[in-house]
Amino acid sequence: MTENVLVTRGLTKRYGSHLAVDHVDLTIPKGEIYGLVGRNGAGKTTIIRMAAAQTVPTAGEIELFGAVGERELQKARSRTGAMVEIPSFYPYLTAKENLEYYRRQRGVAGAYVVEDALRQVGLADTGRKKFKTFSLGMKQRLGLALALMNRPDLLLLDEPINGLDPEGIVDFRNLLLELNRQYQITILISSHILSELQNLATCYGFIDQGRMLDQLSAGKLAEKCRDCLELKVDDAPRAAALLERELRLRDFEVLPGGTIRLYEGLDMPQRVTRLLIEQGIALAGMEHRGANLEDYFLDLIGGVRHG
Amino acid sequence: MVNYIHAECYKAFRRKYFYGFLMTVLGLAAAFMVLLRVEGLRETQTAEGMIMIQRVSVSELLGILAQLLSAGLYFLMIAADIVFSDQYKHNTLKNEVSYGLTRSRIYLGKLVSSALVAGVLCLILLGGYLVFSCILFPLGDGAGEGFQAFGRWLLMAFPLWMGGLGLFMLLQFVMKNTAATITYVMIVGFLGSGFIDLFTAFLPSLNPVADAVRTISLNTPFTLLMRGRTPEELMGYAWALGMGWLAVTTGVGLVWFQKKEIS
Repeated sequence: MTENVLVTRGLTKRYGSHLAVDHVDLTIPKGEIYGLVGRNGAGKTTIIRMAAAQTVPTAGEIELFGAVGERELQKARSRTGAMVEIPSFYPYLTAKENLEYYRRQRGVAGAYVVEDALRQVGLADTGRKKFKTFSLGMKQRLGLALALMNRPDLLLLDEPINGLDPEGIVDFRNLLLELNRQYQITILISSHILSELQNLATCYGFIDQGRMLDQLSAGKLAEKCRDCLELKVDDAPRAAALLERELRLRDFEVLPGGTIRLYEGLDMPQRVTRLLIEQGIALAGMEHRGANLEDYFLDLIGGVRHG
Repeated sequence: MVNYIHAECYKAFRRKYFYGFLMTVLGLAAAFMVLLRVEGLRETQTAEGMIMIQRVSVSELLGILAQLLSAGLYFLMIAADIVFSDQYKHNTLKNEVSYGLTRSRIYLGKLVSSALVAGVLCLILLGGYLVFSCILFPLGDGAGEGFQAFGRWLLMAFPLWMGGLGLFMLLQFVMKNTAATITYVMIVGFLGSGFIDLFTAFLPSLNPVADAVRTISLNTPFTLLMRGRTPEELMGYAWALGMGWLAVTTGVGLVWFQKKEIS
């Protein structure tokens, strides 16, 4: 049976009359990189903040490493590392002093863990430089160092690549992949840079207006997003039967609204058109489609398709 | 909790703020002593001729310090501020709650750490004052009794300071801006009794309320001390009042902080 690291059931957060998160059921299996996808204000950060105890849910339940209930959850949170929004530290302390402060506070044994965490994120040489003089990219790295310092089993990362330069983004991606593959660290990551998320995530949750629209694995998403020929016809079941019998096409799906998606025979649109017209089926449209994460998300929320 | 206090002390003693405050107050104390020494010297005729005699003694300086014990309430604000460190401005509380530290531990940890930092400040400042006094002035008659009396004043002041610390910690957690918190405490602390006197002058019917407010004011035992009451007479009242404030403000703060949104 798959072990789930984080599960939410009916998770809800209301700010006055505004429903920020609306009965979200989310499941993150162990070892996955879960990409949380949504527009600004969709509720991604609020979900992560509730998981990280920064805000109290209005309703619903959070299960972390099998622990439920506030007392048990607090113990379980020591197995997590979180980086929510812009990393925050004491401006008058150096990177090392800031991490040392949290190491002592958390009772993490061994002063070497501070050096290790700084080295891991490329901040080992910042010396006496105070946090207040750090660039946004350096702040992000220090935030990640803090999240990693206690060797967590789950990382909660909210927009972690904001402010990183292109090289930093690549380093960051490689680091997360290494942490996931080498140490089996489960990661929940939200980002509005969907192309970057697509390079990382092994499963996705799509959220809009506080509601979870869909959760699926990267494999399933790839399947849904693969190249296809989309036909709009007046009698989809009959057209499907014809395609199968006459053109020996097997890999297709029939969708509601007279839509057929053909995943093979993409190189013979003329033959398909001729067959359907000869058999008296009205063809309202034919389009070659190849979706990516962004297209899938926009389709899901009914937004504008690009490209 | 020990880890938490350990970390807070690590941070507090790395702040320039701590040392800056310490140096400023010690510098002012030293300047005050030097001025007093110069002012206190008088030419006196003796059998050997005219000599300079110091009229001010250490026991008199202890008396001056006793008059300033109520200022300790405001010094505690600095200690609490050094520890609390503008948490809301820097948004650093999120690093603590997200690791699973209980909010009670965070609140109590900051309270105890502030008390420890205040204790260190108090020791250094009082120690510095006494060292300056003993170097620059003669002990004078009855110095031993002066020290004993000062000890009793401190014993009376201690619970009131702790009550003040509890109140200031609550305000730090409730109000987002430290400067606003300090301003609020200064205004209420310095001008509060003046406002009460003004109100009751115009509305004598409010006198019972004003009396009740004065009774629970942390400044009242210090005021009574200045009016000639002895620390022994005020000891029970001061402890009940100070510990009462500490318990109530800490209780309110703990409940309030449980549901606080951490951004």
